[in-house]
Amino acid sequence: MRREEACQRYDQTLGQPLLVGAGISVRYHATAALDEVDLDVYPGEVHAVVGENGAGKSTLLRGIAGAVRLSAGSIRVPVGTRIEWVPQETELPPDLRVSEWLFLARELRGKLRRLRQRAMQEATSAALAAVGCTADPQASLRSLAVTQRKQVQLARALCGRPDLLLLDEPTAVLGQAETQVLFGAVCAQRKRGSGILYVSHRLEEVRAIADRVTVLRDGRRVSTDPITAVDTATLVRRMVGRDLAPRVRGGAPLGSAALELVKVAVAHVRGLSLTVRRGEVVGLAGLVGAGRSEVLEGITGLRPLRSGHMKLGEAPVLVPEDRASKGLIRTLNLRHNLFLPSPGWRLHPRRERTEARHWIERLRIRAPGSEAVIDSLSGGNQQKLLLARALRRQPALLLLDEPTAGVDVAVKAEIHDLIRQLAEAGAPVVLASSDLPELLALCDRILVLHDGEVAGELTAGEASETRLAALMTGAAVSAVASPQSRAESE
Amino acid sequence: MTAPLPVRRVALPRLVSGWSAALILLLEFGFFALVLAPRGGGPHTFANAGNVALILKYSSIYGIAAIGASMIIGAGGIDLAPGAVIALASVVTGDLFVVGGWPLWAACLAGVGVGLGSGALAAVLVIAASLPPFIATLGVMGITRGAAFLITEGRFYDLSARLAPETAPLGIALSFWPGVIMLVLTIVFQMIMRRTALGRHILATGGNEVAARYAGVRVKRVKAFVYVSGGALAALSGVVLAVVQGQGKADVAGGYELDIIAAAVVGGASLSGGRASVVGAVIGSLIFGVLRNALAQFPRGTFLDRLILGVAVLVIVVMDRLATRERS
Amino acid sequence: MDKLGIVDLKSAIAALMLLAMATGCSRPADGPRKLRFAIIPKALHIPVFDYARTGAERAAQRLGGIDILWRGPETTDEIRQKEILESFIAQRVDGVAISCLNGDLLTDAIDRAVDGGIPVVTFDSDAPKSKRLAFYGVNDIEAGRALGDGLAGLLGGRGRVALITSLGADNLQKRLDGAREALARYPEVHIVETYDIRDDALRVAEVIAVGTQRHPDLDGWLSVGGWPVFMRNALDPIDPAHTKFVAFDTIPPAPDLLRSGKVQLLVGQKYFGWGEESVRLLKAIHDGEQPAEVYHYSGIDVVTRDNVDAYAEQWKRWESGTQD
Repeated sequence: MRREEACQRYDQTLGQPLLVGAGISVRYHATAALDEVDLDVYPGEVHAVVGENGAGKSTLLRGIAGAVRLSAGSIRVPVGTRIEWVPQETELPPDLRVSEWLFLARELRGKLRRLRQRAMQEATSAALAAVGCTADPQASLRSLAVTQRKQVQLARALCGRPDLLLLDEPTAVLGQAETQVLFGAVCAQRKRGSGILYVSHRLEEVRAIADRVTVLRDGRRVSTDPITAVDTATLVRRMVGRDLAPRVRGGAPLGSAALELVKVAVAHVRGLSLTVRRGEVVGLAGLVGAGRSEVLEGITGLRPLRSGHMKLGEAPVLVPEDRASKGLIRTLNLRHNLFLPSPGWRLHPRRERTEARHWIERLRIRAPGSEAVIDSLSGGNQQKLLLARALRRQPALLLLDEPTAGVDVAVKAEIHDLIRQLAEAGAPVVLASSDLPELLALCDRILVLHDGEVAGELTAGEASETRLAALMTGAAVSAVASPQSRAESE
Repeated sequence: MTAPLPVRRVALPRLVSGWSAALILLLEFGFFALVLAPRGGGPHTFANAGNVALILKYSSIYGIAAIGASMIIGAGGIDLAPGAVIALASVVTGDLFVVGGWPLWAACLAGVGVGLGSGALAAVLVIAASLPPFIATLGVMGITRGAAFLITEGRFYDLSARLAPETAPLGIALSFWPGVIMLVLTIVFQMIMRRTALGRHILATGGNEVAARYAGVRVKRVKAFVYVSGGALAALSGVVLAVVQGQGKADVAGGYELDIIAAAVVGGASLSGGRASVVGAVIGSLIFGVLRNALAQFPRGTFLDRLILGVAVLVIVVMDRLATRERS
Repeated sequence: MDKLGIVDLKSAIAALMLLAMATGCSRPADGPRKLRFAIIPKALHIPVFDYARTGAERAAQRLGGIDILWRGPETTDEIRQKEILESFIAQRVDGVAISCLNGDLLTDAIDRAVDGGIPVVTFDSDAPKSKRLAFYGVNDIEAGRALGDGLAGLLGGRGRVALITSLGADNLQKRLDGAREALARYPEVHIVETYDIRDDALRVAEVIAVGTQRHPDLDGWLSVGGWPVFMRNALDPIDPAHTKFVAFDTIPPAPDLLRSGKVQLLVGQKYFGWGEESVRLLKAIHDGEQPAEVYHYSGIDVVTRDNVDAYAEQWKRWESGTQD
């Protein structure tokens, strides 16, 4: 669909555009992250931007927010337009408190420009409640879980009363319930006449919340349509450029036990017993704070076990969540990150370069080469790099924590394939994830944690989203509801 | 779909930083050679072999310690103790050689041992007690400087009295030893930082300690290594000072830690961790050494020492940061 | 009875009271208490003050009934020195002798002490605007002149010279002024450069080396402080046959340098005298004898190779206390 047509349809109902981008281009080194992209956003619309890894979605938002300079093209907004941007990464200054962060550079001041602490705290509580965040306004940002940090970012953005709201993968670290609250907040913004630019990999969400959807591929705009005019399969095809067949899990006989946990207690988790056999994919489900990451850290030895014992075949390898802060080292390049820790005591750069190129090909990492700077890789490619680092060590047991957070459809499928291949080759995988469909698609068994205790264990046959959610929340009643936001707002 | 992009080496930023320090050094030397050229012929008082040897000799006290500082900064830490360790090492070497009658090599070894000890103390404080490196090394600085004063009680050790002026271990005159030692150590530690896994782990720890730990790097060992070797290198500076200058005194090297850190930063170390260059640090110390030497050759130049050095640090670091930002 | 662990409360109180009495009572049951004189050098690490301490302790021994409290800042930290002075005032010592890092800074503390009944004398470096009762030391301007005249004499009244100083201390500045004044009287003597070495021993060596590079035809060096003669190797670049070196301070190992010919003339102070005279003055004031005048110039010792052995003998006598 040509841009002129799309504009005309909305011109009449929604007035002047909040943003008009023409020919937007951003180049990093050898990569053209964005190439002549045209885009507009109208008041009261949710305009979704979808695309595969490296398509340029985050770069587009960064360009609009002003965090990155355009190599060419223009972005025009009416004078005085308030723009708020919630980036994909959840890095926040660790020593600030929630209320301090919310009001940073916008502090409420009274007489003599003194800070109105109580007013700010109350406003913070209200703002947090609006996004469904249970954090204490006085808590330091360091103490917040990833989900809460995302919610705090959202709260700050909403406090800015934006005319244009830029959301980059806002639900990547949110659970079902939190996502519902987010949708509510987005709809509220829509009602007040804000325009929302919504980047997401989750096409079901996009379908639920968006008015229009733009597809980016390889930095170029492929299409812009009203959401009702395209189906998911078409979107995927445009994003990926080819058809993706849905994957089916194959069955294979299981081997000997690679991991045995008997009544293990680590951090706030207790009474955990689990056996993982070769060839199995075992899932760990649970809400934020249930203890999934802690369990994985306990298995690798990063956290001491408080009680119980563990039998391990060989050393496991962990791919941690939150790749920005726990995964990658930005001051080192791709190859250095790949070969961490370095085996032996000497480095062999030439061998490393060859092997790095092999991994880049095998996992289809889009990067300008083995010496690429980490910042020049998109989120999904960074995740693939982390996986490559783990796989390089040929682990006898692979532990994955949110391996597809902030990663799009096509790459997610690739990673899922990889996991299955590994399992079939005999290496067992323990997969902690908040993505229930992912767990259902991949795992032979799913262990559900609730508040540090094992709420239940379901085999692939028994498990469903409803039952998992029930165990995760510790409630007998199902907490899963399909997004009603569209119905609510109309 | 995923057409391979042209493979390009994008590791330029760090490489250029090491080179830019060398460039600055060359430009600086050239500048002073021009400005200090003798009017009306005659031998050049700045650009001659003897003066270059002087520059090397006096820069080495800072340079040897700067090697250690760059590794510590690369690992994400900082060390405020080098000046005090230099003093204590010079005092211990002096005391054992002059008063204790130890053979020179033994007294020197003991001096370096002082640095191993102070470095180990810093390591324990940072690793076991989890003190921020600034505070931990501040404490070590106080302890070592205090120990130096306690031992000397205001006196000083005159090593030159017992060292024959023609002393030339291994056939190299005493005056050349600081430069030789600095050169050898530069090569050794540059190799460690660039060619060994330890070097990469040091930079990984400094770049993102949490991620390094998750990746499997033994962060505690890395930190222990950099603090202990940093202490040993500073102590070696002190030993060299004592032997070559002939005096062991508790109040030497006051404030040197700032010049040492500045040399490391000018040479490419980033105070936020993860970037450092041993060669760069040594070149940084030479940049300041050339400046100190040149200042002494300007009329009333020595009165501007502190001012010029401070301005120089700012200018160089700002230039470097701007250059890095343009590239990324 | 209440128990604090294994000690019951009453015993604890009794023990504490005993301890308080024991420490509180410093005077013995018989005899007058000892006088406490505080002596504050510029810094603990400056070697010349060691000899002042020896002199003070000998005088205390000789006069009897005196305790010497020797405390100073570890480095030449003016504020720290003021702190130490004020701490002694608070402790109500019987007398203070101080070599001032910054006389003006210490002036009101000294005045407070004197007004409060604690006599204060200065040595080596004065606080001229204060109420100190006496100053014992060299007349720095005279000393500087002696250096200047000495160097000019060695050069036969003609030549190019360089000066070494360290900015900050008042007495060094006076010596520098005196030296310049003296040298100005020799029209054929040119001061080529003045070097500030920031009180850094390593810098002095570097400056001498670089200075020699820059001005290879220098005929003489003059240092208003003792740094070059304490770090022997600093003088290596200088060829004594062509370049003369005069410096301040004669404490060991400086005489060796005279003997070896590296240095031709040294101006010395009465190091032991600083301590001895200060103690003597304070005791006298205590006994009711106010000093007749404020300035007690100690005189200087000019030492060359000719009289260095005699000086060394004299030094031994000073050190062992067999001569005042």
